[in-house]
Formats: sequence, structure tokens, C-alpha cells
Amino acid sequence: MSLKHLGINRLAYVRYSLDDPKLEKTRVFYKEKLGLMETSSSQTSIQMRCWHEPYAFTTMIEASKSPGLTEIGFQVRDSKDLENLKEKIEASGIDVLSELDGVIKGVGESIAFNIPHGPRLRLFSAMNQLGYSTGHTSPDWVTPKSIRGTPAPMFLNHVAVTSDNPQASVDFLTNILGFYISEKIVTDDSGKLMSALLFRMSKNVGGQEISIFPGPAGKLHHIAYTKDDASDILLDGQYLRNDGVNIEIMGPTRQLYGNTFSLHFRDDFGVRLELCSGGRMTDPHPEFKPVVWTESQATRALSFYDDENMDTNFLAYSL
Amino acid sequence: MAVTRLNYVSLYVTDLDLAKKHYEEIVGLRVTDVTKNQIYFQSSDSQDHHCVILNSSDRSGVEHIGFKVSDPSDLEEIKWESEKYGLETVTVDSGEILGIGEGVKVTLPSGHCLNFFYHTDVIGYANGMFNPKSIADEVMGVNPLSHLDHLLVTCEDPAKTIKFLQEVLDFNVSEMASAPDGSMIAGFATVGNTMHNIAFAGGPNGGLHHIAFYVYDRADVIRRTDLLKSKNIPTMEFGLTRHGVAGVTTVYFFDPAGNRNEFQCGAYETPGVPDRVELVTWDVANLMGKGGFYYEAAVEPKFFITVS
Amino acid sequence: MIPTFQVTIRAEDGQEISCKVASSETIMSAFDKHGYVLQASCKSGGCGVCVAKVLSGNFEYLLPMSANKLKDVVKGGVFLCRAAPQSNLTVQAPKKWSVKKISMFSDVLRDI
Repeated sequence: MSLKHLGINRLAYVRYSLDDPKLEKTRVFYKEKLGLMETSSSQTSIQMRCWHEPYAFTTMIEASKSPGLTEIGFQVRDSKDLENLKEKIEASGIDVLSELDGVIKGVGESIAFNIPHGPRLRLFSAMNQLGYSTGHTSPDWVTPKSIRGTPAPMFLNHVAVTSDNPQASVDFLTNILGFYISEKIVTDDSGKLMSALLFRMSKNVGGQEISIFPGPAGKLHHIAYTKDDASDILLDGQYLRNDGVNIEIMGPTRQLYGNTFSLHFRDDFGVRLELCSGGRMTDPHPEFKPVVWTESQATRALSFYDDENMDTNFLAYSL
Repeated sequence: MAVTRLNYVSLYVTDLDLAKKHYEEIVGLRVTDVTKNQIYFQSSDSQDHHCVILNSSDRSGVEHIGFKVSDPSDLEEIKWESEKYGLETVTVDSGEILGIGEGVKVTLPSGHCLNFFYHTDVIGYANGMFNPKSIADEVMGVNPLSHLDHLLVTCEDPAKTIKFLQEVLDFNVSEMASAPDGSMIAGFATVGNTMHNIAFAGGPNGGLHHIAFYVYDRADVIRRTDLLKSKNIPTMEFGLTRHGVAGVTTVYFFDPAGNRNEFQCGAYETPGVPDRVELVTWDVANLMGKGGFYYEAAVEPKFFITVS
Repeated sequence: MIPTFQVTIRAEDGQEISCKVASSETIMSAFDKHGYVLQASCKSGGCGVCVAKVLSGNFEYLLPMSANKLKDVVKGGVFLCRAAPQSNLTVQAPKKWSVKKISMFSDVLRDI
């Protein structure tokens, strides 16, 4: 049956390291303030998931004296799919490292490679499943009591990274990995690509799984998590502020770029995080047309409620 | 390569003018095309030619359902595989249905007709595709809705049709309700990453339970419920509620032909490929309670038997 | 002068309610004005939940009905949501009506 959905089918995880030797600050922030659920840990690493996710993890943080974005994980259909993609990536001139099952806890055999001018990606076909935290039999789809009173986001939504040649990174993602573009920003004069939101999924709060912003190659710009709607995010902002979290000056805002209602904030190490709702329904289809923004309109697109006071540091990478 | 997602639903309505008013003013869709006996609509924030087609008829219900595929060669494959499975197929010429290219219509065991096609004319978002405005100029007293999200249809043997969709078209089943003997009462099937594109539940073959539109905020569900009641549009018991199944906030109401509509909001995501996540199952007792209506924990039988 | 007819709805337990209904209004809306809520769902001629059995009299539909539902309905059935009387009419209701609560507050005081 060749009507199978092949290739990348979901954004699986973001993996990065922080200068937090025992990951104590990390635990306090991500579990107690943000409301992620710990699924496994070692001396130097912690894996966490959102309460609505059944997988082993979607956020993985490791302790390191040289902190940074390690990689972004995407899941593909099966090992044959993985093999085909490996060939395709190698044929494009990119080195691919094949790794065995278990190199990362919970992840099966995988391939890792750097996208041109961008971060490392890891593709795999199997990941441990823990099942839904709320159960599989006539479940109550309600935030578990232990994390109520935190934003407790539902899903990892997208990872934004920087590239010093956005066009090259986007070309690779679209031509080789089969991503589609939902929105992009180009220069006013020459139409040169500055930024793009890329997807493979058709989810409700959709439009992006990986996004490219201009900056040094392969740095992390931000990590976004899904919330049901805007009112949730307004309340979450209160919880975060009350917990002493550093919230971006523009506060909760509509972001036309991505059609979301979002709140940006930082963890204790300056990593920029986002809660988002809204988004777009996208079709992973060759004829899907992206929205195009010109650079002069970008501040309006990023901070609709207050573009004049927008901090230009918004574009600075955070890790 | 594969089916991407639900694209449109084609409905029968008994009075085209009354129905047009409903889908334009109550639901808030844009009219994108008109023929002698049909009207085509699209939501503000979906870019393809249409998500609803109304067909003037002597009856109500669902006429056919459109799903997109990501490669033109998929159409030949779908035709071949469906016929091999024992199902009837019909070729649809380009333009036979306005705004879309050629397709293959397949009649499912449930009696429903699915049209698979590759190309649709892109009309773009109402806000524009280039440096878009933030909100559409025309807002029917509420925020525009996002997209046609799913359908729930009825048939005598849900499991049979779902089996075809899984085996041949790579649909995934996210949640399921079963009778005490283990037989499927309702199955929620998806090809994308939402909880369901099309669900099948027990009832007459070819029946329509409802079509659902996705709104961005639960506040929109509240506001839309207010508007429905103030305009005396028939709604289901309890008005605004939440489904235990999938945990989405919702309100049901009827169009002037008696086709049930839904506004819902809820970000529930699934992997998009089969067998990644263990099935969530519901038993009858829970389905009739918190599964149907979470706050009220009680479902009126006519919620199920009212089918167009 | 719009003709008006007597429409009687009988429940299974033998109880009856009766109203004057104009031939230009639906039976359901007329009874609603008189404080009775009849069994219904879509109120748009599409679901069949409001179908009653005609015991005597004639009616016509003011708005289109779904042929799909009409064909399922046993001969002698009438969709109360869109039917208007053309003569005095008696029907057997699918389910008993409920009475609108218009004097809930007064009832409390009266019953003390």
C-alpha cells in the first residue's frame, strides 16, 4: 500500500543543555513553574513531557558547562523510511551519523545531521510510549491535579532556531525533508528570505514545527508549547509572574506571524519559551500557499498590540 | 503519496436561500461560488476554494465528503485499491465540482461517498496572503472561525468502514467507544494530527450526525452560543458543553434543513500515523455520561438518534 | 382573514392539550406561545423527533421537509415543527409535552 504517510510525521522533541550541574534549577522551573511532567532522569539529564502527550519525552535537558541547543528530534514512519531519508540526505551532500537504539534513552535507531546553516536534527522511527497520563479508558481529559496552577501546556508546538543563511536552511528542509512553509518574511526590496515557519503536521494550533529566524547558524531562538486558547494564556501569565518568572515586555500578545495568541517568557538561564494558541490548520500538500510578510511589516506581525515598543532584541538567539 | 486531511463537506439542504443565510450569517462563512443549485463556502482562515457545498434538494443530509491527497498519482491508486476491496468508484472530472481538479469518488461500506482529489483553487485567507490584516472586515458579531474540522456520520457497522480506511488509506483511530460485547459503537478516524477528521457511529447508513467548525477560543464558543440563542437557532440540550471524549468545548445547533452543526475548540493532537499511540476507549456507560457531555454527565438519547 | 383551526395534541396517557392555530403558523410555534414545549430537536424538518400521528384532520408544511425523513415516517405522520393546520386537527404526540414554567416564583409563595 503506497498510500502510507511517510517521512517526518511529528515534531518529537527539543534537546538542549544548560549550565545547571545537578539540574536543580531546571527542575524547579520546568516542573514547578511551567508544569511539565518528568518522565526520566539521570545524574546529568532530565526528560519531560506535557500532560497531554503519550510519548517518553518532548523536552530533554542536560547539564553542561557549554550550554546550547543540541538537537531537534522528529519521528518518521519506520526503519525503511529512515533508511530512505538517510540516502536522500547523504545524496544532498550532508554527512549523516547513524546511531543505534538507546543512544538517547527512549529513542530507537536514529540518524543525526546538521541542516545547512542550521541546527542538528535527529530522525528516528521508534520512541517509547508511556501512554496518556490521564489514562486510556474513558479518561478525564483534565490537567492532572499535581500541576494545576501552572501553565501545564498540552503539547510541544514548535522550535525556532537561527540561521545565517535562511534560504539555504529552508531549501534543505523543504526539498530534502519535505517540509512546507506556512508563512515567511522577505526583504521589501529584493524578496530575500529572512524567516520562515515550516510544518509537516496538520494540527489545530498549527502552522509550524520548526521555524527559522536570521542569526548565527544553529542557535535556539525559542521553544513553544500549545495551549487550548488565549484566555488560558492570560491566566498562565499570571501564574508565571506570580512565580517570579521573567516575562517578555510585550506580555500576552497576538502574533500575526503564525496567527497565534502568545506569551513569551524566559527560564532561569535566559532560554526563551512561548505559550501559544490559535495557529492555523495546515495541509501538508505541495500546493499549500504560504502567507508572505515584508520585513518592514515584521514588527507588526510579531508584536501586534505594541509594535512601536517592540524590543529589537526579540531576534537575538536565546541559547 | 497519501491522504492529507478533510477538505470539504457537500450537504443536501431543503431550502437553498434559508441555508445560505445560515452559513453566511450564523456560521460566518464566505460565499466563494454559486451555480443554479449550489452554493460554495469557505471560512475566513482556510485558503482552499471551499469547505462547504450546499446542494438544493428535497432532503437534508450529507451528499459527499472531500479529502485531499498529496500526489496526483494517489488518485489512480485509490481507485484501484478501492475497487479491489469491493467498493464502487466514480471518476470526477476536473471542474465538475467547482474549484477543484479531477477526483475519485469512493462509496464506503457505510454508504457515504468520499471524493479524493489533488488540486484545489486557492482563494487565500480573508485577511489576505500578503502582509495580512489582523481581522477580517466582516465579523458576524464574533471572531471568524478557523476551519471545517470534522464530521460525525452514521452507519450500521462502523468497524467495517473504519477497517477500510485504516487498511487502504492509512487512517489512524484515536478514540473508540465499544459495546459490552466489544463491538465498535463509534470510531474516531484521522489522517492528520487532529483527533478526528471523520468519525463513524451507529445509526442509519449514509446518515449525518454533524459537521464541526473549529473556533480559536473557548470564549468564542461561549459568544457563539449566546448569539445562537438570541437568534433562536435550535441548539442541543445544555447549549455550551464539553465532551469528555477528546475534551473539547462545544455547542451544537441546526441549520434550516435540519443538518446539525457544531462549533468547537480544543487543541487535542495525535501522531498522524496509525498505531503510534495506544487507543483510548470508552464504554457505553461512560460515553452516555461524561463522555458525551462532561459537565452534565448525562446524554439525552435524542442526541444520538437525531440524524439527517 | 387567516383561517384558524383547533389543534388537539393527545398524549399516550390520554391527556390532551388544545389550541387555536392559524394556518399561517406552525403547530409547534403556536403551542409554544401558549406555554407548551413539544418534543423536538432540530425544528427544521430534518430529524423526525417531533413527528406525531395524525388521528384526524389535514395539514400542510410551511417550509420544506427532508424527503429522507418523510419517507421514513409511517403514513399519517406529521412533523409538528413545520406543519400548519388546514382543518381542525387531532394528533397523537410522540412524547408528552412539557409546560413552560411561567409562574415558578408565584407557585413557591402560593404553596407555602
